Amino acid sequence: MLPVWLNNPGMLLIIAGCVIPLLPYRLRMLVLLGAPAVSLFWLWQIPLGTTTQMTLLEYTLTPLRVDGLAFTFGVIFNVAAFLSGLFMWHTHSRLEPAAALIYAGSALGAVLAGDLITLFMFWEVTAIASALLLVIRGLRDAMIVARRYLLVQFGSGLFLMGGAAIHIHATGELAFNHIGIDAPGSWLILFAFGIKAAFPLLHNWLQDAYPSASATGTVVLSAFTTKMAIYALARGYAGTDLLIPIGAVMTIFPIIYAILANDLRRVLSYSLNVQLGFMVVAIGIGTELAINGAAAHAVTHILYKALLFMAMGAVLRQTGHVRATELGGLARQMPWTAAFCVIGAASISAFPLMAGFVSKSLILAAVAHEHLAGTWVTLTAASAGALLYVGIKVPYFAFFAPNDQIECERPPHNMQIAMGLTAAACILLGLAPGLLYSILPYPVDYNPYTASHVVSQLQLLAFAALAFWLAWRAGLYPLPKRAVHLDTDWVYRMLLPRFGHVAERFYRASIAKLGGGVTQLSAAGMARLRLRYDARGVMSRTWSTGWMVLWVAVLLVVYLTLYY
Amino acid sequence: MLFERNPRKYRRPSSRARQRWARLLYLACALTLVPSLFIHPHSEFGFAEIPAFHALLAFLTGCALVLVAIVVRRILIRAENYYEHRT
Repeated sequence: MLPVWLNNPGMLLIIAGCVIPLLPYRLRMLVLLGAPAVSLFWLWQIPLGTTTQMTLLEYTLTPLRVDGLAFTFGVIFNVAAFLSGLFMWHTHSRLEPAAALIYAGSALGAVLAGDLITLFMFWEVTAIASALLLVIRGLRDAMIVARRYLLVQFGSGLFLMGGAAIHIHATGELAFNHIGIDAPGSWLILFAFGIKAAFPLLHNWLQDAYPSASATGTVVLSAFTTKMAIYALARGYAGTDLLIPIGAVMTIFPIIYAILANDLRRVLSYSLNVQLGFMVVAIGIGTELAINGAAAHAVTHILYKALLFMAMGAVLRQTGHVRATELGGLARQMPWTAAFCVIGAASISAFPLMAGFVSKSLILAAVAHEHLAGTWVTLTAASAGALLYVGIKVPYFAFFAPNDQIECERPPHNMQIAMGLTAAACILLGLAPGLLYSILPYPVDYNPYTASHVVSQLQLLAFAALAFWLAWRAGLYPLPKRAVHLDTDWVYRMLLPRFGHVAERFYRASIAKLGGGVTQLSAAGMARLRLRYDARGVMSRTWSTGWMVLWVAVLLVVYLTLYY
Repeated sequence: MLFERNPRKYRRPSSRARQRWARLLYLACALTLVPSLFIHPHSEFGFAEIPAFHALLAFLTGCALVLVAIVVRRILIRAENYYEHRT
C-alpha cells in the first residue's frame, strides 16, 4: 500500500523524472514514454469522485481528487507528456527529459489536488521545472529569459500563497473548490491564476519565454502551465462575469502582435494567448456547456498547439532558423513536417473535420446561449483572425514562401512520428467529436456538424483568406521584419531598469551631497573642539594661580550684581 | 548556412500557379455563399441570420486587423537589438 502522498499519478511522473537522469539512454527513453502511459492508465482506473486525505501538521490535505474536470485535464496532460516525450526521444540530454517529466507530473498533481496547500506546492514545482527547460538550452539569452520567467512564476506562486493563507485563515476551509471573487483572499488567488493564464497586461512572460526554449522544450512548455491555470480558473472562478471581458480582450489584442511577429514560435505564443482567451470567456460564463467548452478547447488546443510547436521545433532543429525572414521553401525538403504543420494550422483555424472546430463551437454555442451578442461577435471575429495570423502565416513563411537559400535534411523519425500521432489525434477528434465529448466534465448534448454551422464556418474561413489575399496583393499585409515590437515586457525590461538607474543615480548623488555635508560639518566641529580642548587649546592651558583668582573674583562680582 | 539554389529541392512558385490558387480561392468563396441561399441559419441573434453574415464579418475582420497592424507597427516597432545590453 502506497503512502497517501505518493498515491497520485502526478507523483509517479515526478519520481520518474527524478530517476531518469541516472539511467542509461535506452532505459531513459523507456521511462520517458512509459511513465505517462502508466500514469494515464492509472488515472483511467480511478473512479470519478475518489479523494484521498492525509494530515500534515494540523491540516487535512487532499492530495488526490478525481472528478470530471480533473479527469479531463489529467488525461490530456498525460497524452501531452507522452507525445512531447516521443518528440524528444532523439535527445541525449539527461536533464531535459527529467525536467519535462517533473513539469508534467507537477501540473498533473496540481490538477488532481483537492486543497489549496497541495495546489500551491505543485504550482511552485511547475515553475521550477519549466524554468529548467529554459535553462537547459544553455544560451546566454535563454538564461536571462529564464530569470525573468522564474521571477514571474514565483510572483504568481507568492500571490497564490498569500491568497490561500488569507482564505484558509478567514474561512477555515482548505478545500480547493469554487472560490468566487467575494471570498477572502480571492483577488490574490485570481491574480495568481491570471498571471499563469496570461491575462492581458500579465501575458508577456509567455511570448518572452516560449520562443527562447529549445526545439523540444517549447513543445513541453506550451502544454502545461497555461492549461493548469485554466483548470484552476474553471475550478475556482467558474461563472465570474469579470472573466468574460478579460477573455474577450485576450482573443483580440494578441492577434495584432501575432501578425507582426517575425519569430514563428513567438507567433504561436501570441496565438496561444488568443486561444486561452476563448477558454477564459467560457469559464466566465460558467454554465455546464461553457465549462465543457473550456475543457474541450484545452484538450484540442494542447494537441494542435503542440503540433505547431513541434513543426517549428523540427524546422529550427534542421535549419537553425525559426524566423519568417530567414525561412521558406522547405515544403519539398520536409514534406511530412509541412503536411503536419498545415493540419495543425487547419485545426487552430477551426476547419470543419478538425479538432479545433468541435471545441471552439462548444464555446461559441455557450456564449450564444447566454445571449452575449458583443462577446459572440468578438469571438467569431477572433476565430476568423486565426486564419490570418497563424493558419496561413506559419505554414506559408516556413514552408511555401520563396527562399532558395536553405537546404536541410528531414527531421529524425521520432519527431515525425510524434507529429504524425498528434496530427492524427487532431483529425480523429474532429471526425469523431464523441470521443472528445465523452471525457468532458459534464454530459454533452451538442452536435457541431449541422449544415448551417458548417456553412457559416466555411464562409468565415474563405472570406478571411480572401481578405488576407487581397491585402497581400495590394502590398498592405505587414510582412515580417527583423525588428522588435514593444509589448508589456517593455515595462520591466526598459522602464523599470531606467527608473532603477535614475533612482540609483539620485541615491548616489544624495549620499555624496549628504555625506559631504556631514563630513564638512564634523570637520568644522572637530576643528573648533581642537581649538579649545587640544594640548594648546584655551580649555587645556595651564593657567597661573593669579589669573584663576582674578577670574573667580570677576565671576563673583557678576553673580552678586545679577543677584541684587 | 547559405547554399546555392538547389532546383531539385526548391521550385519558385510561378505567377501562373499563384493565379490558379487565387481563382481557386474566389471559387471557394463563391461556393460557400451558395448554400446560404437555401439553408436558413439558426442563431440566437437576429443579425447572425442575415445571409452571408459570417462572410462579411470575416472579410471586415481581416481588413481591420491588417489595417490596425499597419498602424500599430508604426508605433511599436524598434530595432532588432533594442533590448540588447539592457536586460
